[in-house]
Amino acid sequence: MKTLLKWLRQYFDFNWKVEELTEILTMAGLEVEGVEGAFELPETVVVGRIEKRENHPDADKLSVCSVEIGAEQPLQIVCGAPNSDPGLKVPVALPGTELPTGLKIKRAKLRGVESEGMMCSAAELGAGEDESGLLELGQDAVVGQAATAWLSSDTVVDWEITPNRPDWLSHFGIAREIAALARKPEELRYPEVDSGAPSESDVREWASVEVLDQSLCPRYTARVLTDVKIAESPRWLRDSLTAVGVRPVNNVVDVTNYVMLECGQPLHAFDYHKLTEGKVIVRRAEEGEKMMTLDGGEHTLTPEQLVIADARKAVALAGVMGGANTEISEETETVLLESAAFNPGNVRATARKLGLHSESSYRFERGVDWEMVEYASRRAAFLLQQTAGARLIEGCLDFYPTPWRADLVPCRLSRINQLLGIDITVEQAREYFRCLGLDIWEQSETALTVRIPSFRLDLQREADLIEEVARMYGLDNIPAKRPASIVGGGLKDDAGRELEEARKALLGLGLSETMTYSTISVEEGARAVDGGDEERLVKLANPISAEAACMRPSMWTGLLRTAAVNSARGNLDLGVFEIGRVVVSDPALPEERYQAGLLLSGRVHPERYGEERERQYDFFDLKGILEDFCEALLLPPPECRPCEDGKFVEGERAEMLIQGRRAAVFGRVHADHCRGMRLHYPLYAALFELDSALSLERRQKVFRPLPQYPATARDISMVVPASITHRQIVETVQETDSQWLEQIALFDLYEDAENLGKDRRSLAYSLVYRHSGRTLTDEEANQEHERIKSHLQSRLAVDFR
Amino acid sequence: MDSLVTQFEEARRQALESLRQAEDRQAVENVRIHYLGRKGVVPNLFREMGKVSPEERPLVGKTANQTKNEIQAAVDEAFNRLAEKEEPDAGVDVTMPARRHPLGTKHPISQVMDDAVDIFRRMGFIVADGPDLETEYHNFDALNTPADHPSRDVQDTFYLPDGRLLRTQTSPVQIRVMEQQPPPVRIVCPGRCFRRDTPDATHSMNFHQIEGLYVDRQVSLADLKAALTMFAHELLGEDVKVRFRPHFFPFTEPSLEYDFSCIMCGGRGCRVCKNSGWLEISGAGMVDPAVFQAVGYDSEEWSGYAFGMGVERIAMIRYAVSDIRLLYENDLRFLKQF
Repeated sequence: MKTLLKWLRQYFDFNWKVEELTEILTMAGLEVEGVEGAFELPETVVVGRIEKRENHPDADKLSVCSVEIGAEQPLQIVCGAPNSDPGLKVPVALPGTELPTGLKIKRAKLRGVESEGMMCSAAELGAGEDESGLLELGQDAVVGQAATAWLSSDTVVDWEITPNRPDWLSHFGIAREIAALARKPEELRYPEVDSGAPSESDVREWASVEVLDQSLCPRYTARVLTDVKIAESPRWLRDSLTAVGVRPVNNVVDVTNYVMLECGQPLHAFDYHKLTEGKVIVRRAEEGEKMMTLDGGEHTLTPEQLVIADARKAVALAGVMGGANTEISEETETVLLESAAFNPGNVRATARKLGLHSESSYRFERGVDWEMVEYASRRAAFLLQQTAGARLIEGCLDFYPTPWRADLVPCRLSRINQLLGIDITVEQAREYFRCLGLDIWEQSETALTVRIPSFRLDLQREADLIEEVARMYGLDNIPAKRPASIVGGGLKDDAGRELEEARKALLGLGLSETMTYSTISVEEGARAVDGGDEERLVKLANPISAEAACMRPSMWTGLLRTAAVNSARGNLDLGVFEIGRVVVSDPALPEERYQAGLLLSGRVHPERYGEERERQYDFFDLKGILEDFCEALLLPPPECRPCEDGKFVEGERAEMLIQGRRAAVFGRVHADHCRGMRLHYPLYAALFELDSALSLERRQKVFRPLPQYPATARDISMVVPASITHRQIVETVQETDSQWLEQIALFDLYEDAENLGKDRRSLAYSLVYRHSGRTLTDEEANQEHERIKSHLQSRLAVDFR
Repeated sequence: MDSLVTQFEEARRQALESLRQAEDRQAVENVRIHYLGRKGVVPNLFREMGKVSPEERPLVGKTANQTKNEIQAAVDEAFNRLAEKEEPDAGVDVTMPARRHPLGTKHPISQVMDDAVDIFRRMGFIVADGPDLETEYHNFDALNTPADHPSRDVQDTFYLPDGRLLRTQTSPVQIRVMEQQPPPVRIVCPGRCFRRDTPDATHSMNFHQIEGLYVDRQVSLADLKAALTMFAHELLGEDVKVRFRPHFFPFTEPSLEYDFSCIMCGGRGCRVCKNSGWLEISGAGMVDPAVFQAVGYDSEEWSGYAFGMGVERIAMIRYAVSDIRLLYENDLRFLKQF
């Protein structure tokens, strides 16, 4: 909502500068979107008053003025403007000034006469387009002061109006707010509505109004004006509209627009002679009824929509836009002026359905002041008489079967003070309400009952009135109160903490955190979801693009997107993760769950040198990170076994089980998923089910006494068929139930097709023995070691070396 | 045969002498193995001790242990002596690159979210969570949003075929918590939200919010101001000023917006704050009685405040990130800066 400051001042005098005004209103909830035309002039442009004017001795078009600027002597200034009349207050640029336009003012002789400065037009100051004459500052300007302060009346301020305050959608409404904030509501001036000389005939002889659906149109007024002379509007009217971004059309249309911007009440002017039988019927449209609006749009209507019709046809979409068939034209001589109230929801639905949003619909959607309807019509009639030479037909057709009835809302002082954390008296509250135009219906020592005026549709409850008190009191003046105590005791705070722990663990393992979109394409979803079953995807009903059409069923897509972005930019060494929610539609699974996705690619330590620099991430790096991750989360020890998941390359894919439950799948990403990526290294990825893992019982941290007796180690070195897994060997060793075996660790792997054959490999393990109650003797250790070796040999095809 | 005591003493003398003469680590190690190794001189003498008469045993035992300990001490000392003597030219170029184990970097959104949650936890808030796929009731109705409010429009909100939606704010978590527990309540709800915005430098289909709610007896706007001011000071520093402006939201009354003074220019006005000196952070207010009614709280007995904040917005201010899309692109060179 754009307002011209000069225009606001018609209704209320405020002597705040632009910055003060915008600050005060911002802090009252009327936020500033922008300020135009507020500009700073140098201090050396001052207010001057023309004292005397004489003709220039040598130039017909120039005059020599004596200008008072509050100095010891008036200045002598040569001037070419036609309006340099004595008494006028104008901006004077003193010698040495550089104006915003770049013009430098010097003391100079003009046609032989000394000139000590320049009196300026708006254009010369860069304050507007007008170059026809000196900028008139108004009689309240103080001679000798910097002119900047007195120029702000041409400033336009654009306000952001919250939807609860339709009463701010007009100059008068904002002036009313300013008056309230200035605590001077009694100084508010209403727009002038002197109705002029009465005509000989009555409006009822000219027109009739019939409203068929009162719920959609609670009030409808019509006036008729004759002898209208369509022309360009006078200058002040055109300038006012232009300043706030409305294009002038002709005097009739401009007046309706002006009054809307002034009073917040949209008006519409029909060409009376195009209305069949002078009838106005407010009715629902017929199914399939057609109408062309002013903007040339053809619309096919339904009974959901309200129209204004004459005896034959629809002539306007109620509250939204007029029809082309009754448009004001050059030939219009008689005007029927509509001012009405329509149902907000219905106007919104119509505007949205037809994609027609107008200044008018904008205001009706938020609700107009019923009590302003007739007044605005009178105001427009007055202006049409002034600007279009119109004659007003006596009377007003006013359909208003159920007039506005003010709500009475009680408000307790105790509640005000408690909710706001302040301590005011009933008198203070009363004063705030008075300033806001809220009458007090009843008052006691502890409460007020407030009569809500018709322009404050938003005030319905005590809480709404408390907000008004807060605004008037000033949020800045409310003290910030430190919390007195905390709510404690027995409240668990696990949500989020475990995810934080998980994130910290992965960061500690050297992976960086990423965040990708929750929404992906259906194609990506089908590739990421287990079994490739599209049915398990949760799709959006109204996606914004195909790339974001369903919820991610796993972190897979995000990981690959991250890999793709980075590979395209040459960041080939990656160790990243993302923790977030994934969504699947599957009766056996929770719909939303947390998952961690891990991705490794390229070199492990690109920041190092030599051999260490060249080492690339492999399957076991990923497995190691997953195991450390489990350890960090105090999960039971995980086990790995091959899996069938097609997202990964066969032979380098596995699932991780914790207590028999699948916690993760991981491995080398299958090339089918890397299409379009410039990959220099294999990608390794893991999907870790956080919710499921975190629901397991965690390892308790309990101290176990440190061993008191020394351990002794023995090695086994053996050649085994490649088909025998490490896990088989370890499990076979464990089958011996050795009481003393504390640890078994692989310490060497040797593969050599020439010496060992392709299907065999050499493994070396270190076994550590310890007795908890005494030192084991060599013989005991040797015997136990031999027992284990012979068990191995009996179960597996191993050759000891 | 010399007495065992004499033999121990002789072993000790010889060992100490050898150690004195040893000139490198290998020589010391050889002495150690010779005297203290599993089959060395001293263990062998220990094995003889079984033959000693019971009367002699205490003296022999004492000598044996002394011998073993002294030799061990002398060995340690000899190693240390040699280590000190080692030539400095065996040193390293300390300016060579280190063998580092870099930590990963936390995503800026997580950093802000974790820091914010920590701050509110210290004020007694606990963390609550709710689903991303939300009902229209929790996301709009229970929050007093009119049935024809534009934010419900399919232009602005993502819907699922079953009529549910992707939550447009974290506020529905408030409702879920209040439905499940009686007052008092003091929660923060960090989480992901969705709006049907076309992505640009300041809009993202996905974003994060932190919602706060405090319901108790006698909670006032003054408490809200204190909490948000403390939050601003903790997160961005004591110099940050907080400004509260009246505003409008369906689920709070009074409603307000709060701004932080611009941390780029200190409030003097710059490009980042569009010369206003203030950065708009988010909305807050006193819980609307209609919301309490929806969850069955008595608004006569209880009052409360609620606030929300956009995590991306704060992250962008804190880290001077100019385009929200950078946060979701995951270029490693970007991530590594945080």
